[in-house]
Amino acid sequence: MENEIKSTGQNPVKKNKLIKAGVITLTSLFLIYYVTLAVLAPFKTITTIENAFKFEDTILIQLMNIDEYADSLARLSSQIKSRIEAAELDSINCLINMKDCTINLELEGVTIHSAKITKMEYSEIFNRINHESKYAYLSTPFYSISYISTIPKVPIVVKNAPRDTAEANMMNTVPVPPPVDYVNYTFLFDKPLRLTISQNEPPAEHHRYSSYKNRLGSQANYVKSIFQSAVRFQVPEYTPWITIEVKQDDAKTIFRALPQNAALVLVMD
Amino acid sequence: MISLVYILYISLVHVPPFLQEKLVQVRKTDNKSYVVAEKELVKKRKKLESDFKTLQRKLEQKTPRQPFFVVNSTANNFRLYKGKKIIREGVCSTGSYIMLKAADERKWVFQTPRGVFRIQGKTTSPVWIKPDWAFIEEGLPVPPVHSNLRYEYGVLGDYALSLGHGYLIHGTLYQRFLGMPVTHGCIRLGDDDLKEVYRTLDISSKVFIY
Repeated sequence: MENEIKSTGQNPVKKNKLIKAGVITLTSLFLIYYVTLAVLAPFKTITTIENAFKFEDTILIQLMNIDEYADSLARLSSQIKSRIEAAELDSINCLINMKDCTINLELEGVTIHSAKITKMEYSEIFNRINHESKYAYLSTPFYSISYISTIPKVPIVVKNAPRDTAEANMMNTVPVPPPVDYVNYTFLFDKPLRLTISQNEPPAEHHRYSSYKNRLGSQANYVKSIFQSAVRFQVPEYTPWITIEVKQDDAKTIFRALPQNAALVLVMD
Repeated sequence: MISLVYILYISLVHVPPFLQEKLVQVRKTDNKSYVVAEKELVKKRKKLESDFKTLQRKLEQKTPRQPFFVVNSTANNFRLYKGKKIIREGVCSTGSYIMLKAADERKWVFQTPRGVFRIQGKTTSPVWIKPDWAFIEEGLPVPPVHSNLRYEYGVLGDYALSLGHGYLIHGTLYQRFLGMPVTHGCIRLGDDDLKEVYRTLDISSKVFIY
């Protein structure tokens, strides 16, 4: 009788341990698979960019390989070509100079606004693409196809016309300063690139919740995209990214100045 | 349980981007090489140099040689340039972004337009010809088109420069509001700034507004 009780008492405990071990093993295996797929993504993107932006001129490629001066001329020429193409547009475009850490607004080739980048981080794949593909990739502007932002592009305030002068006098005649915003926006472009610009000042107390929500939202989208690829046994998409911080006023000025499909010129080296 | 959830969060959200950036550094850049004659390389180098000089010249020609005016409508400030040199800068007032809705469904958005403009005309002692919205926003009845009530003297300052489509650079009685977005689309300057801008810019000088 006692032996019976002992043997029936051990089985549920052993069963629970087996289930726990099984769950942990499966979860660990899935995590390894998930991380492996994520790690392969940037390598796939480098190959895609190198195949999409090829130099046909083999003489120029060899010259760039052996002559540093020729390489720097080719690099500067690709940058200027991109600036000239952006200058031909009749709208405001953006120039990010990663070497000088500045972000400029240009119109018809004239720099109309310049801001200092206080913090900049960018994807490591920019240093891994072969130089001729990189110059071809940078020799034309990037045109934005979509954006997401914490501030409106045009901050319209609707005002109903007063019925008479008495009502007009009652309306606030002293201009109210605009509210304190938290400025953070991300642009996606026609060529593989994701650009995020945010203010370098910490968000105000009442904006902290929305900035956490913003960050959690982008993390959730990131995990979701890898999950979706993992389930289909595909390597997920990896978009090369640049994240910069500037003063709030500059961030706002830049966002509001740029049109819907703004052109971006990148100067990297 | 909490630590398991935390480990899962770190593994899903933070580990992959960290490893992506670290491991891609290991990849060697695949620079291709080709066998090319020395003569071809020298010829290509010369062409590269001349193309570069042409491109550089083309870009430099974009900067106007004549004085031009730049307005930042978000920060409400301006700069007056001659070539690449700033000769004057200060505060201004630009559009308030108010959308006025009248009872008869008409709407006006008081926004300073963005882009490149040219000075179309210059006037001293300008007179403001009040449009319909100027009466509607005061709760006043709108007078006929040629009524004397439409003409207001002295409110635009001593000078005005026209940008076309009814937009002006002019002065203001409300100097204390300079630096704030309070206008109906025009650009308002302080008296001294306006005088200098009027003196410096000519007809067809460029004005960049962003």
